[in-house]
Amino acid sequence: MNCNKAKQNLIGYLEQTIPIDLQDAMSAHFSECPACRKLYKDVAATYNVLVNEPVPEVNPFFYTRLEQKLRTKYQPQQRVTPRIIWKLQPIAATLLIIIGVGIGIVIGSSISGSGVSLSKPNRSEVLKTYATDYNLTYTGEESISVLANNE
Amino acid sequence: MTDEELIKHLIAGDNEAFRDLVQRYQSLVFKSCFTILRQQEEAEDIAQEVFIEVYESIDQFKHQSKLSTWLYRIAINKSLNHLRKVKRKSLFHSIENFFSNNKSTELDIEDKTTQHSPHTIEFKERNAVLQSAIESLPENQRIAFTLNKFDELSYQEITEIMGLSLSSVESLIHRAKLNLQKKLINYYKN
Repeated sequence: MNCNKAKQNLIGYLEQTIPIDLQDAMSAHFSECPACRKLYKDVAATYNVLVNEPVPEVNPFFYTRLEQKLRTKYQPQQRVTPRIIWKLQPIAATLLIIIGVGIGIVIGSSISGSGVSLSKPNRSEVLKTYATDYNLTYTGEESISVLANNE
Repeated sequence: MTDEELIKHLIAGDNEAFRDLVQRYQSLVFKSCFTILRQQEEAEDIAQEVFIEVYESIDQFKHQSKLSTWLYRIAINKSLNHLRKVKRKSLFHSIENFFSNNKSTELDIEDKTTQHSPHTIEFKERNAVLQSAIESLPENQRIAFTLNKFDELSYQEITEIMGLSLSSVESLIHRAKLNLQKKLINYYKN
């Protein structure tokens, strides 16, 4: 057994997966060769970390956290107003105000246009009352106003 | 409740069955994630993603393999994908650090390999050497080797998880051991 052959079979020797006669030859070599013996010790100690390394325990709140994640994932999403709508809101408000003012002007002018016909009977009623109060004969708006002026 | 019954209940939307499944397999899934990622928090996050995928796609389970095999497969795929993402990020950070002359990357690697073990400095050092050697193995060799050594799975179970023939798995594990041996010898020779 030479050093190269020993190095080629270190893990096989460690795991005892090589033939027994090869294992024996390697054991004999290690007892004679301090360099290979030291190398074997180092490799074996490092390789055995695999067996000795502790695996951490699962967090006791593993399921609770998982449940929380699932709940968050499947919770109905809050409706998010698109940015474009958010930007258009002041424009829409301004338009509504303009339209409101416009409608107001139109309605106002139609009321004032029809105001003459509405106010005329009232005016006649007032004049009639006025004529009755002063023992005058009501003959129409014109005559009353003349009379009033003469008074 | 058997796995078959558990799956039926899960497909029917039974939340209690899901809780049972998680409690039954959380250690297995967490351990397989941890053997690849070597980080407790990351392993836990990925393990949770595994169960979320199971929750969402249990109806796609084909019953061609055992439930545990299916879980292993998802856990390994997710862990490897996560590892690739992390590596891409760390490559980006390395480039960034190179330009900013920052040496923290080296320290990060050291922290990563030593933070879990409660043992001696020597144990930590050996663990770091071994992990570094395992990480440098080709992906298939690394998976086959870690499933065999850390998860203590038989070659037959590994063939089902990796979807390979028995001889391929044997060959992967054999080559992984030879590569590790070579790397360890090189390390200790110097």
